[in-house]
Amino acid sequence: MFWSINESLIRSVAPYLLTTVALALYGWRLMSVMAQARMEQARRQPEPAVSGQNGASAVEMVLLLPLLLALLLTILQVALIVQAKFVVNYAAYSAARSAIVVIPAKVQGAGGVEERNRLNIQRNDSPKMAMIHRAAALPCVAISPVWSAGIMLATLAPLKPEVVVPMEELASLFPASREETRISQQLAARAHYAFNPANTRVEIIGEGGNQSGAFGERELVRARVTFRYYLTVPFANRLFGTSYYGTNFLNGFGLLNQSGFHAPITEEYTLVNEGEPPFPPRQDPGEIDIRVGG
Amino acid sequence: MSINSLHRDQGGRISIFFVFGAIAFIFLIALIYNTAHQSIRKIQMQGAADAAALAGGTQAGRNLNDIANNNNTMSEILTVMIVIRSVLQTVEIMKTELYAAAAVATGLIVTSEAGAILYGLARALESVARVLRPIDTALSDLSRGVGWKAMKLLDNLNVGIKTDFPYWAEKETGDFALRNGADRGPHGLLIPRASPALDLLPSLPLARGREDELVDRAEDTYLKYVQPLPASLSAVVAVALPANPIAIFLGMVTYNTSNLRGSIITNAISRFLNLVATEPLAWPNEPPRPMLLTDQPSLDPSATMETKESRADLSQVRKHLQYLAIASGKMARGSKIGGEKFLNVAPHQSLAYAEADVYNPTRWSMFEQNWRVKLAPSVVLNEKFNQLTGIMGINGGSQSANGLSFANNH
Repeated sequence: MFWSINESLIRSVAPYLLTTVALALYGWRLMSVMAQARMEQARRQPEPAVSGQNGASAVEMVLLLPLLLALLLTILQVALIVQAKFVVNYAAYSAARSAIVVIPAKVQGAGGVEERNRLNIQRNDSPKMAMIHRAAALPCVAISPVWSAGIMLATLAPLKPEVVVPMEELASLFPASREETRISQQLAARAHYAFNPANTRVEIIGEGGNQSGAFGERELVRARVTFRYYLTVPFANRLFGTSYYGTNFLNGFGLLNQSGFHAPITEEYTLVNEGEPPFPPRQDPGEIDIRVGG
Repeated sequence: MSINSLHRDQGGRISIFFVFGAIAFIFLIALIYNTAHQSIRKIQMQGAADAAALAGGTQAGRNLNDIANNNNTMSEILTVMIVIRSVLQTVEIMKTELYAAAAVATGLIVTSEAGAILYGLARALESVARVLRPIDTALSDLSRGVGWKAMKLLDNLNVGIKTDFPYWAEKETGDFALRNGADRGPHGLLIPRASPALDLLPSLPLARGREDELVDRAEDTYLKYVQPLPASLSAVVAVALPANPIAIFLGMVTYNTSNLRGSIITNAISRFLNLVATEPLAWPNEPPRPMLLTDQPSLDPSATMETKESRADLSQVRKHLQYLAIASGKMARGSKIGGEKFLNVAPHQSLAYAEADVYNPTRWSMFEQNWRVKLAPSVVLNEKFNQLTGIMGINGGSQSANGLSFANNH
């Protein structure tokens, strides 16, 4: 199955996987050294005082357990980040797939770029960008945190009804969540996080870094999705993440508020733009095809 | 080994710790594998849907191009028929004129050499007409002309293409979805935005249009090269000859085309011309008709329409050429490991959709052989959601399409 993973994904994931494996090997080594030391101790003292040996072993464990635990948590967090990278890569694919079909329709009309359909990369009120952003945010729902007061305050946006209601309808489409309403509420909370433009950021880039909003026929379109991945593992999140308020002296380097930590995950996907506008300029009936959901 | 030594053995604590670590590690690898597997599977399913949509749309585009080709061939055959008939008529008129001139010359001018030359010319033209007439008859005789038969054949071919299109489109869609990773149920379905048949079968927005449009097309393409001639050449020729054959030829072309169009030239002229030359070209009883775009296609593939193609509302025509393809597959295996939390909530876990638009960048006309297909944002899904869920056997038959536009990715 893995042969169909694209090159850029492998390149972005490989260091994390190597780190995980290295940490795991290091933990293994640590444990075997400990075991060896104790066995040697046992060989040297065939009949030691039972209480004395127990004490020595307990001290060893107390010293090494936090280190091993930290290693395990780090491995856990890195693995979760790798997993999130796969999902964000799929989100980038969705954004690119959405972009190639959304961009061509009438972006370039007879008299150049039509204003009403300009891609407006920099602005959020463009209907085309809204559609592309929605495509990217939807897969990110799966790796979004369940709603919490800290995160909500951090992202500074209340739950929007137009996000919550359709998400509940959507949830009933899935076999796993068909009977229970609990999942639907969870999904709604996650959707609220993922659909926030601050958490899922999409850039659409043409060939040669072109972001002007006008894309040519059969041009390569690159979608870059940056997702603020909420880190859940207790110790490792401080190691990898930054606070939603930023990390500075005033908030105790991110430890004083309850917002938690996040790591930005960026993935890219490139697809070919889907051709020209459907009507030649003289015959254009002038309808707008793009529908904004919500 | 004594109980005491068992009690003393402390290796167990480390190995329990190690076992827990190993289990966690395996769990993590399984989780990553699972996520990767699912997202790859979803990309694969999207690829299947794209391939299916493009396959169905390509079928439509090819058929439209075939029909446009047939229409063009019909108008070309008609051009040849008009030209040959006009040449024959010109020769006949010239011959009559020359006989008359010869008679006048021999009567008035005593030296009858000029009359003899004119007479000889007239006889030569008569033999030319004798060669041309059987060719013209074989080509455009009303009951057994080869030209009419060929055009009728192309007409029937068009009707056949339109009749067979739904079958081939659905077959191609299913095949390509299957080849690209769909593996459940009907694999792939092609659903039109608008269709006269059941609202779910793809169809082409075509009907047999007015036969006049073949004449229009002939004038637009080939006959336009003979029509601008008189202004420059006829003056020169008119001086050199008593009657201008090129002017007569051009007049005959207009005579034939306007007769085909049904516009009546004044009776007197018509009656006079019919005395000296063969009758103008006319349609047979069931004239061949080109297959043209219409915004209200009928279920009957050989149905005719009386409005001109250029009057079809293109935004309505376009709705018939927007196709939604759906590829259905089994869910990715091993999705149990991560649990529901990592269920990828993009819509339709086992269902992918794509819309293909068939369009013509040159001109939306059935004489323009440049129909193409491309992927487009799917407006069809919003409009047909309830029907689709019913077909695919997923629940949500009572859901509103507004709710789904939220989940509509592209």
